Amino acid sequence: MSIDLTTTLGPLTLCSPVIAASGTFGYGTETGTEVDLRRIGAVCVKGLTLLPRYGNPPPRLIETPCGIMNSVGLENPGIDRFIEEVLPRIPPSLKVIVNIAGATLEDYVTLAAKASIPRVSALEVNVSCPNVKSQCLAWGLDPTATFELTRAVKASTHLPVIVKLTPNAPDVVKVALAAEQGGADIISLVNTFLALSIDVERRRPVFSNTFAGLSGPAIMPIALRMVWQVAGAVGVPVIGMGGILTARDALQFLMAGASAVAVGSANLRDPAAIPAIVNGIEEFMEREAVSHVSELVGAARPEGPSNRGAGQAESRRRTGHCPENESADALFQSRA
Amino acid sequence: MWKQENAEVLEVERLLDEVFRIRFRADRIARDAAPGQFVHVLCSHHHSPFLRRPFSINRLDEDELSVLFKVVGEGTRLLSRVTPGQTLNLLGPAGRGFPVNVSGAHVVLVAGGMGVAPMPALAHRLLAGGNRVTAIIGARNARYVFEADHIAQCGAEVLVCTDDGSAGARRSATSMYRSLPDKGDIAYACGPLPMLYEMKQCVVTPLWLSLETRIGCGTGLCLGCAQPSGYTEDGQVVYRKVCTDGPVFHASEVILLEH
Repeated sequence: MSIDLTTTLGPLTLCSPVIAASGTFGYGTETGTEVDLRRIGAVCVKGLTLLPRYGNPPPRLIETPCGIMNSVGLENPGIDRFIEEVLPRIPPSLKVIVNIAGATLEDYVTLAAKASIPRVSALEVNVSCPNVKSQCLAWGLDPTATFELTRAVKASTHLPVIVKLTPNAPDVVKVALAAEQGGADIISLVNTFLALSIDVERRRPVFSNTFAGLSGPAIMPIALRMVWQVAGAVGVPVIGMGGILTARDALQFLMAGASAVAVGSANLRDPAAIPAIVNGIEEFMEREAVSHVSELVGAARPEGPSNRGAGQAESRRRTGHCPENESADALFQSRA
Repeated sequence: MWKQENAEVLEVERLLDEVFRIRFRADRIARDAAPGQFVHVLCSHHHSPFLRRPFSINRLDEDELSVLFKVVGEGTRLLSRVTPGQTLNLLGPAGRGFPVNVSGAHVVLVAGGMGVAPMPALAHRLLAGGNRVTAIIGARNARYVFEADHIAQCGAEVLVCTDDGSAGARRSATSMYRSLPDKGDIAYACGPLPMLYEMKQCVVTPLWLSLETRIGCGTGLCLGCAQPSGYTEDGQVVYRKVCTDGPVFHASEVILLEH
């Protein structure tokens, strides 16, 4: 039978439901011909800031049981050098999602405008980086801030806007609804969990920034629960991620209601992890006689599968929940 | 460019209680490998340890390569228990190795402890290129002197030194280097950071250093293995990636701190 992996996320169409998560696949230029990029739905590039950032001092990455902690600190060449020097080197077959991270609302607006060029397929608004001293993470902890930021970014780009949520928010569903109300086309979650490791000989935290982000299989069940909750609450498509290592892990996220998934830490263990996961999804679909990947989306939910790609978000938005001048907080109370 | 290869374990040698050499058949990787590059070994098919473990290429043949390592944690413990006939997923050759396109030069190799690991392949290649090689091998005691005979058999002049004088001279590898009447044309060093720091202070020729650090992906994706490399005009530290910019760096490319 013919298997169709084409994935529609509102205005964004991908050749496969598996995306390379930001910060775990570089710029798509590092793996040469050794990884079959045609199997990868898109690469979410390492978070970009207005000015170059040199990143945090080492150590930046340690292993934990079934996972890793990182504190890279958004090392990146800055948006201008990325567009001039890096973007042209990304293989043309690979769709590019630009992850943007700022300290102020103006930073995000400028970044969104600069990144809105034809080679870029979508923007991912990083409101959840735990490893920089500026206020990146703070945006994603607060529904009102997320609403305002999303609205501002949306107004400064024609590209589909993905808002990447942090699992560290007190109520991730409220933040997701805020992003949707702000105009997000797609919600992605989760970024890393704020975590701590202590060097007992030195009697100090391992990381210079004290806390760092935990990812990998260790956090997968929690991420999956959050994706389930958010997918049940919002009308826009959801990209689910958090510790996916195998095709079965990815299938769980799809069945929880994610329309696509992103793979992160697994790329660091095996740079060919995504093609292997896509092959595994395809084998599962063949075995289960599933012809289109969208049939799996939400399959484990009580309300059954849903095709979130096909304009559901639009219809939800038209139902009157989005008066521009109503206070964001009031909206979330009515929806949550 | 690195490749991934399921490599067959041909031989596991236990050189000491906790020091092992594993020889692999890995023709795709061995074919392109250069001394000083590393292989990134998947030590577990389960979730833990999650990441691969990097090892300098120790000896290199047409379709075979070996790694020499000390058991220091869970990954190396698992690796030490493999048996011939098993296959392990290797990623390599990874990183930038030592410059080996020199000829007619006198090259001095300085190894401290397990830093001797890349020296056999390096000495072999340099000698084949028509160079004269002097190898200084420093270790804590006679039991920890590895590869001295092998490197000598390749045709290098080998000078052994130990902390307690149980083999060779009782001095450090760097003090041995300082005492050389002829310091050669170029020096390559691999060993603990304090040794590399000292080498950088006392060297009088061009010097290349192989750094050992924790490496995440090994392919430049994660930016986890940052090595301070210089400063911006406004004093910010600039980093280089040990996994793809190194692990071998020219001494001027890295900032090493006194320990």
